[in-house]
Order: sequence, then structure tokens, then C-alpha cells
Amino acid sequence: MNRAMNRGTSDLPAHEPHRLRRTMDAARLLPIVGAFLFLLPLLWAGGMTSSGILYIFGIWIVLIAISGLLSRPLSKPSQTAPCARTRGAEVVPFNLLVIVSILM
Amino acid sequence: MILLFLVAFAAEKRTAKGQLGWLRSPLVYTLSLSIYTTAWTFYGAVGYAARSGLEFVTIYLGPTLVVVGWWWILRKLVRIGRTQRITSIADLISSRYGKSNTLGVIVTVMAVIGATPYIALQLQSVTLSYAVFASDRPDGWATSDLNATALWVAAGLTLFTILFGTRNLDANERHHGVVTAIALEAVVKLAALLAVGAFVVWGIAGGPADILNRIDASPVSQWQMKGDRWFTLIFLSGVAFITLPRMFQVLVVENSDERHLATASWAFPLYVFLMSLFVVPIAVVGLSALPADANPDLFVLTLPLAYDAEKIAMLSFLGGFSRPPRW
Repeated sequence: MNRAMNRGTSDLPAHEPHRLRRTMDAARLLPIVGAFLFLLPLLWAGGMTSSGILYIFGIWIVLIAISGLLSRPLSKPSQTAPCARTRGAEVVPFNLLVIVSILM
Repeated sequence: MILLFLVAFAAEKRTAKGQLGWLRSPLVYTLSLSIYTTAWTFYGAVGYAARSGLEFVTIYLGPTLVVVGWWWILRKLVRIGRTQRITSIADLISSRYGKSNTLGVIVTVMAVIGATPYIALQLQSVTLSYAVFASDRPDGWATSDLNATALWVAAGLTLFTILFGTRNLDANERHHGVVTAIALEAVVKLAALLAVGAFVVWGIAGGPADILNRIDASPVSQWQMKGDRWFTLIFLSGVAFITLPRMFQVLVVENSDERHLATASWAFPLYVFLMSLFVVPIAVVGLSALPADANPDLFVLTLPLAYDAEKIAMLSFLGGFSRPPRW
């Protein structure tokens, strides 16, 4: 199992696969955290004042910055090698999305 | 528009000669994603902000989240698209069901029906901006002239599509000419909006602090957020970012390197961020400075004109006008 996991990263030092996996996890987590923070204004009462605007744009630019930092290690060639076993499952929800959005 | 024709033509020539080089850069890919922001964005965002406050931002937050989460969904979408040589959404769906032709036709028809309002909206925005500029002329601007203009614009765009869209030079259905023209247009739009924004914040108002005060004092800040709309718009815009036919084309079909997604994951949100940054200031200043019956959709054009900033107004007109056709 270890050999399969390190398959695409065998040319890196020993601690690298761990760091890369953490980076991938962070990349997966980022949109969820971002969504939560963008939806937080729903809890506010009252109108959208200038501080609300500063909040939204502030979160936005922080998301951009973090995404930029994460994109560097994730775009190395070894990361874009095909992972055959994960291909099938993700397309079904996409099909549903497409049909739902066309119907809307 | 002539410039766009020339750029697209030059790009296609280079493709035919095999000199792809910078045509395939991540920057061009990212900027081509800006096709998500339609003509409506350039003018309508300010109008939207004047009427509904910060809600306009939701249609950019959705795609931001989708693109920031590229590692999750987009990456696999692009990979499937490339390995299976998918050329459209209809192709993708029908190929998952054994390349069924009937299914492909059904999806295509649905997509065409869905795209018609978009095209109508864009034609409307181009002719409206034209009308604002031409109304200073002594011979006036009758309604029939508006329709004639729209017809000519539509004809020009159709010509562009036929020349650069449907003449298939690349076996992968990639159209470097159109994509490059889109990227160029994105730069022009950004420059125009930033110029008007900077003019409004530092030229008309007294800098960021003054703008923040003006926002608080403006009727725009009275806007109450409607929770269901906020959430739904963010979700819907995120979905639309992937499933709109034109977005699917630039995102999946035109993608030549998966790693471009990594660049797009921060560069595209940055682009939309910059486009949205000055929208509320422009709306707020426009509401207070221009007469009450002025069309807020056109503040981006009418504000510089009202303050005699002719060059900025010209740039603004260019930003709202320049566009290659859509799928």
C-alpha cells in the first residue's frame, strides 16, 4: 500500500510525500472553508455597510492568496499523472449538475 | 473589433505554422475564462449594485469557489475531457451513455434555447453603449437606428464566428484564434474598469476613506441581504461556471495543459476580484452625482462623461464594446 501511494512521488525526499498529501488535503479543504466564510454574512442582521464589504473582499483576497500558495507545489509534473481508480465516480454527479442546470 | 479580428487571424496563422508558444500559456487560458463575465458585467454590475447592494458579488464568489477547488472537481473534468477528446457538453453526456446521437441532439437543443437570452443581452448592451455615445450628435438617434446597429453588430459577430470558430484547424477542436481574442478583450475590460474605478475613487471622491464614508451614507447601504438569494446565487453561479456551453468550451475543450488549472485557481479569482473592486464605489458616486433618472447600468460610461474625462470614457466604451462572439 505504501508503494502504491508513493508511486508518483518516488523522486522526492522521504518527508515530501507527507507534505504533498497535506497540501492536497489543504487544497480540498480550501473551497469548503471559503464557502463557509462567504456564507457567514447570512447570520448578520441589518444592512450591508462598508465593513461588510471590507469583510467579503478581505476573505476573497485571502482565498486568492492561499490558492496561489497551494497551486505551486500542486502543479509539479508528478502530481498530474493519471489516477485511474478515481476517474469513474466523479462524473455522475457532474451529469446531474448539468441536467439540473439546463432545466433551471 | 477590427483589432480583435486581426489578433484572432494572427493567432490562427501561428497555430497553423505550429508556433504555439505563448498562445498556450496559462495566462491566456486564465484570461479566456473571463468569457464568463459577459457584456452585462461591465455595465450591469454597477446597475445591480446600485439596486441590490452587494448581491452582485455572488455571481463571482461561486466561480471563485469552484476554481479555488480545482483540485477537487475541475481537474478530473479537464482530464476526462482531454483523454476522451470531448468537444462539448452534449459530447460528454452522450459519451457516458455510449455515444448516443439522440442524447447529444437533445442536449444541444436545450443549450441553444438557453443561450438565446445571453446573446440578446449582449446585443442590447452593445447597442445601448453605442446610443449613449451617439446621442451627443446633432442628428439624434431614433429607435430604428438602434435595431439597425444591433443587426450590424450581430452580422459582424457571426462573421467572426464563421471565420474563426467553425473552420476546424485543430483536430482537438481548439480555437486558438478566438481564445486569444477573448484573452485580449479581458485585459481591455479590466484596464477600462480599473481606470474608471481609480478615476471615481481618487478623481471624484477623496480616496478610499472618503469612499467608505460615502458608501455608508448612500442608499446602497440600506440594502438588506436576502439569505436564500445569497446562497442560491453563489451555488448557481458556481454550477453555471462549469455547465454553461461557452465555459465548458474554454475550461475543458480549449485546455491544453492540466497545470494551467493551477494558475487559473488564483489568477481567475484575482481577475474577478479586481473587476468587482470598484463596482460599489462607482455605483455610490453615480447615485449621488448623477440625476435620479440616470440609468445606473451605464454609470461606468456616463460618470466619466459627466466629469469631462473624455479619454477614460473612451476606454470605458471600448471595454464594454469589444467582444468576440459567444458559443
